[in-house]
Amino acid sequence: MNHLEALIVGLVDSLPGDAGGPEHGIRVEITSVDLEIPVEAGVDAAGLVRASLPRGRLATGYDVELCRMALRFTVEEGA
Amino acid sequence: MTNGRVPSRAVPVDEFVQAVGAQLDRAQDALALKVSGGNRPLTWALKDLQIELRVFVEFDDRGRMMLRSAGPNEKDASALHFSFTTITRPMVEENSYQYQSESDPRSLDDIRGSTDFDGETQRKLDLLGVRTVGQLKQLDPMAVQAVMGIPATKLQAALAASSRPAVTGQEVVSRDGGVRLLKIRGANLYSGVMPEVRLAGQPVEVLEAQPTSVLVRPLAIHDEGQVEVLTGGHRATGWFRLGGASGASGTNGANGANGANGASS
Repeated sequence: MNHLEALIVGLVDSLPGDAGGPEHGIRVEITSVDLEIPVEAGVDAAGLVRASLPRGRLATGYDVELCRMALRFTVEEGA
Repeated sequence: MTNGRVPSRAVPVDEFVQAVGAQLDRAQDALALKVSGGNRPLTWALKDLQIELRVFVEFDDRGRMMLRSAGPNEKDASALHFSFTTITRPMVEENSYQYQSESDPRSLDDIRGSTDFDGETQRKLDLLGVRTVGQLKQLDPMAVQAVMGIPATKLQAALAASSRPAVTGQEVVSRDGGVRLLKIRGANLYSGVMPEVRLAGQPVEVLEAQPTSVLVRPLAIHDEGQVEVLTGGHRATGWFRLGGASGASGTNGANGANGANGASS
């Protein structure tokens, strides 16, 4: 399993920043995104949260019960 | 990154929350790097995180709440919901203990040798949020006895021990012209009357004195040796080390190295 921060950064990479453009006659900017996802998560020996997206069709039947995670991302100006 | 399973070891809740806070900080730092490294004007920022963990809640022998992740095929785990949100620096400062303004920031462990605090007493003080000697001094022993069951005599003995002067460290302070001064750190080093300070047995000029530090001017012959601070009829001792004639600044423990405490009589 990944560290929680690696999963968060990976999720951000999948977020679209906007949609449309001059060729579509309209452009929509996204200002915030709410994600609610099932995750395979746990606390490791150092107290750190490990979390990964569920393995789906590769699940073995011996997997841990899935947890849930909700994240809210907002767009901010860079410093 | 690893693909290994999460080892099943119970961790205290406070360690868990601190670790998650550090992880979220690292996530924010990584997102900020995308702006500076990619020359992008906007970035995504994580505002809120809610996580539901499947864990078994246990209590250790000190009464601390511990979390252990549920393993494969372990049913009936508790669902614990944590909500994290971003707060600003003023909010952090407003809601946390200000150790830098503490009158006596020594840990209770520093006076343990001169008190009879057992593990149970320490645990009860932890529950009250008492971690420093300064916080201990603000307690009313009778009220603590009534509420927490810690004998008042035990607290009064600890308060008496904590009021004695102690040397906990030293710092070499360089001034213009290559002048080296020595800042002696500790507790109860000043009680309204300038303390007398000796370095390696010789009296030295005391330039400034506060309860938590005394600034003195070492003699040219001083390099290392014993520090003695005499104040209020008590004597506290430690060790100093100026670190040669180069005038380099440094911070050390009471023995000129890190960590060890001085003595008081």
